[in-house]
Amino acid sequence: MAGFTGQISFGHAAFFGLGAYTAAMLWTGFGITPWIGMIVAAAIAGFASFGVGLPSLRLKKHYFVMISLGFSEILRITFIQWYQLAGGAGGIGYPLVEYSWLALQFHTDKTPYYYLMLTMLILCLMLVYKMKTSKWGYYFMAIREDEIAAATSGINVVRYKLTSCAISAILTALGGVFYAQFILFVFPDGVMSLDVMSKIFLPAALGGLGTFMGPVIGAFILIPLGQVVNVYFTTTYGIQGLHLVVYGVSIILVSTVVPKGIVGTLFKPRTGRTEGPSAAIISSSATSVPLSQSAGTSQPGD
Amino acid sequence: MRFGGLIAVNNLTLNVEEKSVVGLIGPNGAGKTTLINLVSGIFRGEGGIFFRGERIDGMKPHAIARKGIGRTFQIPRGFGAMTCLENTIVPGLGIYKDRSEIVSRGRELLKFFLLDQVSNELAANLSGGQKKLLDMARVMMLNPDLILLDEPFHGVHPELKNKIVENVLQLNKDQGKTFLVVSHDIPEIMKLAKRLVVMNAGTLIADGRTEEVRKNERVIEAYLGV
Repeated sequence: MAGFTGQISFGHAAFFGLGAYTAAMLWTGFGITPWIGMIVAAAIAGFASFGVGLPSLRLKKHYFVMISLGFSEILRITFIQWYQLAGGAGGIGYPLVEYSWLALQFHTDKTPYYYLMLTMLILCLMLVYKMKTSKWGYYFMAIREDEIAAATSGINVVRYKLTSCAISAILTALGGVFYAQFILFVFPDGVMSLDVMSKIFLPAALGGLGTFMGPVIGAFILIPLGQVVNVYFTTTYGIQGLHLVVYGVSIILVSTVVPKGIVGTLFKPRTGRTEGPSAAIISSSATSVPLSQSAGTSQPGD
Repeated sequence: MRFGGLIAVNNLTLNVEEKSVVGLIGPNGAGKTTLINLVSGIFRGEGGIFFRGERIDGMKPHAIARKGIGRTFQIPRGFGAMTCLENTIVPGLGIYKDRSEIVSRGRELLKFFLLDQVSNELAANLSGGQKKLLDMARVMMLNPDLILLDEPFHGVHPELKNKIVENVLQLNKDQGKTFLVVSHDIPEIMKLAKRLVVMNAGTLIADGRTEEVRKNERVIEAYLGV
């Protein structure tokens, strides 16, 4: 969403939490498998994104950031107060079951989690790759570059911003489902806090918003670095929470030294993309059609 | 149309005939660009705007663009991180189904506007004059019937000015495109338009054949000078 459409959200922890809570509540409350939980979570996150996006996506940059942050906080506080189904501040703990694909619980061997996450990563990357060469991808990028130029080019800016927000929310909610199944315990501060938001946003910003591999590279650098720092200083010096300093330094570095992220800075395009994803649409060029003849010969689409 | 206490466009009636080229001139702050913003749906004002008999005021800019009204900007706008070819392709994606045709047409438009040599260059890297031309190429991909050009000659090299004039006249003659051209460049607008409309302080002060308008006393007083 931030990379394609240029709409930075600090509220995606809410969608992550919605995904995690949906799966947890369906499983612990009704015995519904997390596989169905994923579908329900995706639907809920999609609808929630419309709910928050429709009134707020008309707002520019910082205002939208604040609205999205507010939405996330409202949801977090709601879940803290929701004792009946969501367990309040204490959250929901999963009752342990045997090693099961149906329940998505693997206690003796964590390998299935790895392959599940790897599959999800690959599917996400395929989606992003496909998106970059699609009409939607071009529209998202056009909106990011200049909303007014996009609108006067015939693009329904609000509609495509909402679409972008919904896709992003659904993917984030699916991440939340996997997180819940892996940790087997969800609570508001664990799945909807600013800490979660920073873990969602910072790797993408560090790697490069709008780049294909940037968020992956950012995650490969930032998450292990944070973990190593945390474990090392906690065990050696008894100082806890230093990984948050790493995140803080990352924010400063990204915003001052590499605003385009690592990939965006290292592979800054000097000229256009004659190769790569965005060239796919162009490579299908047929023989030239004279301008005077081409006018009015096409069938209206879309 | 008001901006706080300032009335930018007031009590203005203007008809633009199909397949004509109309020049719109006036001093700074006359309301020319505001008028274009109203027609293209960026601003909402009071009163009615009709395109081929259909009322379009209140419509969103994208809907107006799809109706067949294209516009350029005084300060060129575009998609800086995309190539020139991609800039021309984007509007076509919502109109044409055949992608190879979109690309062919995009290339043809770039050639028409002398940008074929920079088709794979990022739009952000172009000069000001080239951005003006790219703005027009992008608009033409919509295949609009009415094209609103906002200061197309501003900051443009004389040779490129001639090319713009040539292209506008060719599109008008060959394809029957209608143009409303806002400009301060009187010599160029004289080459383009047979009809000249003059605005001052948000309202119309003259409308007629170019030569007649140039001699109009109100126009001389308000804009052209002695």
